[in-house]
Amino acid sequence: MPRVKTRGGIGEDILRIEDQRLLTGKGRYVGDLPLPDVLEMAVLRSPHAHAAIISLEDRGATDLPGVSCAMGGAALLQEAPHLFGGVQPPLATDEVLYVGQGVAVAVAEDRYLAEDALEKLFVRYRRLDVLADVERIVTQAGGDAASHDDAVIAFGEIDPLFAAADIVLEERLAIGRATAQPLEGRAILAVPEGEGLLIYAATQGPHGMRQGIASALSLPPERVRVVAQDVGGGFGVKNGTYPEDVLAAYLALKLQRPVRFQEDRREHFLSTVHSRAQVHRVRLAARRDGTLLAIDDDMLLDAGAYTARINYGMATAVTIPGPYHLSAYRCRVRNVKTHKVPVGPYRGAGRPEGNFVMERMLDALAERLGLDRAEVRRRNLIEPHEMPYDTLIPDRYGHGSIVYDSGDYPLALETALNAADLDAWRSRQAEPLADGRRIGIGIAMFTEDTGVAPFEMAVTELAADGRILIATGSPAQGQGHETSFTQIACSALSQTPDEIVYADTDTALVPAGIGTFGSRATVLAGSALYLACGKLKELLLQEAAAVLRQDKDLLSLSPGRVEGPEGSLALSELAAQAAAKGTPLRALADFRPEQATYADGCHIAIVAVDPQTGGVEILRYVIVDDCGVVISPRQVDGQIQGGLSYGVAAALLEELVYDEQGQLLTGSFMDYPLPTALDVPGAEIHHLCSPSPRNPLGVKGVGEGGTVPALAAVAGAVEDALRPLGGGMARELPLTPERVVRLIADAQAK
Amino acid sequence: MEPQDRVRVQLTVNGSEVSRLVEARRTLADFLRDDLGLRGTHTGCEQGVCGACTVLVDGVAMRSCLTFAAQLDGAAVQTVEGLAGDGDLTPLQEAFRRRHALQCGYCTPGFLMTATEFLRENPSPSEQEIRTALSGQICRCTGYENIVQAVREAAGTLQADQRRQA
Amino acid sequence: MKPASFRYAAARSVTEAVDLLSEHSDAAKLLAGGQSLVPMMNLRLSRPEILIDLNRIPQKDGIYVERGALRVEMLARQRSAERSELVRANLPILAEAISQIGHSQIRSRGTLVGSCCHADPSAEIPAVLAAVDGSVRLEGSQGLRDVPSQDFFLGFFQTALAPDEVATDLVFPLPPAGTGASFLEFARRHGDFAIVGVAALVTLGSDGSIARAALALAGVGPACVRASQAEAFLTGKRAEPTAFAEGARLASQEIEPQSDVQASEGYRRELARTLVERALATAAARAVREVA
Repeated sequence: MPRVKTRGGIGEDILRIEDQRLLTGKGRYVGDLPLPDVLEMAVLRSPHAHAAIISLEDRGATDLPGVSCAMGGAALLQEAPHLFGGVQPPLATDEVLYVGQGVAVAVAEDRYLAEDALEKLFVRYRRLDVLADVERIVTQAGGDAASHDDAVIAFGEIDPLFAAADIVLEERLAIGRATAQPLEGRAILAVPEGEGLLIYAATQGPHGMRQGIASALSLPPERVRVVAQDVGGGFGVKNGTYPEDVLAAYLALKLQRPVRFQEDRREHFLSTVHSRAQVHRVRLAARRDGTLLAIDDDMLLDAGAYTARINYGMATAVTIPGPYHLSAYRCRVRNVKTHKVPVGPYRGAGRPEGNFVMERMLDALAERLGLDRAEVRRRNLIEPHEMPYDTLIPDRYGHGSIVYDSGDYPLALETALNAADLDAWRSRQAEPLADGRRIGIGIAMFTEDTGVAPFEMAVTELAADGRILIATGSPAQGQGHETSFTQIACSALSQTPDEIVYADTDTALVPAGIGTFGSRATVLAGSALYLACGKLKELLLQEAAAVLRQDKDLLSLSPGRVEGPEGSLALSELAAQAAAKGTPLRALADFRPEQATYADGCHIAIVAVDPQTGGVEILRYVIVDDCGVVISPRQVDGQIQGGLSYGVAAALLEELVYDEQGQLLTGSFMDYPLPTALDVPGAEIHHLCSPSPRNPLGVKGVGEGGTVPALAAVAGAVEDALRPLGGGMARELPLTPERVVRLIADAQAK
Repeated sequence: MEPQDRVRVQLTVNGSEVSRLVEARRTLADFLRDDLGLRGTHTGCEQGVCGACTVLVDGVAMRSCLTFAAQLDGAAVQTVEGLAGDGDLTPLQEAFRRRHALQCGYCTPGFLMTATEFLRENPSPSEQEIRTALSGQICRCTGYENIVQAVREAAGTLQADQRRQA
Repeated sequence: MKPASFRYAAARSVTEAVDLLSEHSDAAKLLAGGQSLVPMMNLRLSRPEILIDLNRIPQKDGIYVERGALRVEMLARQRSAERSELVRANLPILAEAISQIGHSQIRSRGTLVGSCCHADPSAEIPAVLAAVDGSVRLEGSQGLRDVPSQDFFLGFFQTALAPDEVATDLVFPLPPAGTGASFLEFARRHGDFAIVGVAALVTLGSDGSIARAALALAGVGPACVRASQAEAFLTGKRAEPTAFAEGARLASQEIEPQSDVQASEGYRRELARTLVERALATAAARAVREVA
């Protein structure tokens, strides 16, 4: 772990470097890039969830002035069959599998004209049977055939423990379908260059996109260069290669003009991956004293059409056990195909759902035993002296079992309990507030695998002006890598931020990369960068030693200079000499940890619930978070607070509701309620620091920790508020006002 | 008058005179971005909900996605580019930076325009008033708290609070 | 999401707007605030060939109190009415209702008349208009007419406006002395369309009993509705919680809410009962203050 303190280094609370341009309207998002001859692309989308395409007729689309190209899937297949090798075709040809799937594409001088062209394309469909409800699908005859990517994650002997347990609880828990909705939709600008393409993309993983596009277009990867500049939020969904990416890249090559696809809001609802959408049948076995014995979960994931982009149900499965001792565990994961938008990872990527299952079941256990919710947790927590702790949960990548690296879970719990001043709140629970509302308290703890495999690379180079260029394969979509990675470089190289140049994430600069998701960028790319800086430092000192004719071991770096006992040298001079010699001073590092790091923490939500309307207000929210060493304090807190808004949204607000015909009923910002400034409380955030021994920085990921336990904490609080009125267990998210009211009505009907 | 496909508009944008013949259907947002190259104004939903495209028209915050450029003959429009111009950040922008009130930055111009109007009308707001005023702007990154605190700081209410407590 | 092509005309007077409408009838749409129309146009769900912009008509954004009524002209913005001293002093329930519409940026553009012409069944202003037995003034090629609210709101986004008519004013008769009023709504988030909204007016007699009650509900049917059975029950009763509860129960029985993705019929009914009861209590308390 770095110990050298420099201005702007690791742990210092510096202002963000990227803010100056973003605050003055000078961001460089894909839609903002000025190119005089760019064509804009629009996609005609299926209005049916499942239908055969009978015909597609062009009634003058290509004749419209300003329209360069308009074509349907069948024509594209004929013209470019090689584009159709992937799991999902760039356009449907004979059958559509969800409302929103692309059936035709148009490019024109502007988006207005491209949309005009789409209106001249007439598609005839024949509607086919629609699969919409996962539970109905799997209970129907042959229903198992509808699921794919099935797996079981298990350890220990489940059945004897259930047979012998004092307490067995069984519940159906469900988390609604959700969508990420970054305010910038997906965006790609494909520019033909030489025999290949230069692509500006709003992406979380430029290298993956390069591979995806090159492979779809049958181009060697080196002919595709992908650059990510400013990206307007990602949250998991701007990853991989979408059909529109392939279309834009192909059409740019075909027309030899830059082609841009800027997804609009309607399209984001209907074509960018959805997420969550899980139903669990879960059983818990415990002793009378509250000791957990075993969990047995059967999960159905509404995967939508095509294969889930990443099987995040597996992340759910490995998250469920959390910070608790368990003697046996089994989780069956089934991805069930439906005629809906395909699913993929989104803020937490399966972990919030897993956490919800475990924490809700612990609350149910507390309720059954008449124990305090904190006490049930306290009795089952893994202790710090057990670290590193082998959970026995099979690693989903097949590398043995998951071993937690560090953490003090009991301290996290007690810190949160103390901070929240629970006794005072509990004393207010006996009576309703003056306006009739009831107070509820929810507690949820979490562990989360962060910084998941397999690797990231980083490049550092002494630039011609003597500053140090840093580059990785993990772009930022708001996480502020320009600042946090600069801080890492400052510490590693004893520089100040003025001497560091953060490069856009560019496949031409870094040979390989994975990307920014799963709370991994700082852990992996940050560590790779730290290692690359170490190598560059060696190079710089070595070269300087030769120039200064001093012993390398006596030299050290300072901002812009190499210092020695008998004279110093400016880095700009060193750069000039390197340039003269034609040997750039450059270092590459590849960081490949064997295991993820495990962040943890505890959330406490205090809410007021109106039992008549079902309205919920969060009065206070306390977070204790342990993400190891903190690089950029304000950004860590920013990630946690921002993550919380996703948890609150999943608990109370957001749900994609489909009807039985596979029509999305909540497909706009009018009826899919994103949280506003009135819905998200300002959290009180406390930090613990258990450095990870698994990377040179001691860091753990933090991008998702604000979200993961918030679903369970808020749901638990709402349930708690209504218990005195006879309310039942909160089993289904989001807790819309109607579902909140029904907690009482349903329990009383039983 | 006869309905027209194209409309001649003369207006000022960030203090500069602009005269253009615009297609009737062109939204103010697209007019600013594509015709004038002022791409700091972003569109997020084109439905008037998210507020990313908010600009000031004659000093009033409005959705540029729900306004046609053709309607703006004679108007004075201010966008995020017009806040600081080429000079120093405004106190509001400065507060956003100090309070880490932005992450990806895509929604930020809309927040700045709404808060600029709000603080002009309500120079010393309560936190609840700030949250209500900002509730027509969606941010997906920050969870709002730092934006609220930035607006408070800009309003000088924080300093006043601190003085009172001291 | 870009609108289809249209031709644009900025009317300089109501007469000019009427003439344009007469000439182009179904192909034309009127644009005032545009906060409901333009989203539909951006989605190409509404695609007028001619867009007649009313915003350039001079001298039509006033708010007046005359002949015992509040009159709001066609270009008066919701935010102006919300802040208007005239409104706050004479018909505070209108300001209270408007403050719950959308957000300030929407209210700065949106007009009261436009909201009524759009006739969203969950909208606030139509409910207030209905609660005070107000009317809409229309001007068309056949001349002027005043249409009472119960005849104006015909159903889901349906009004009595003829194709060549422009709505020029809303007329809100002022409630008699001794009246208290309350507008309450419940929505998923602040600014969202109400799941249920209630405009309640309670006029107390000199003996403290309810001389007159008016209840208009939004979000519980194809158009805003008056709860006439509840009103009849309340008339003559003492203004006390048991009466409010029974009135609320009756109101929740006489409405015919529909289930949709936002809420079930049953929840809407229960919510209506809760909100009516609360709104009656608030209105009555304000009436007491008024009397005092």
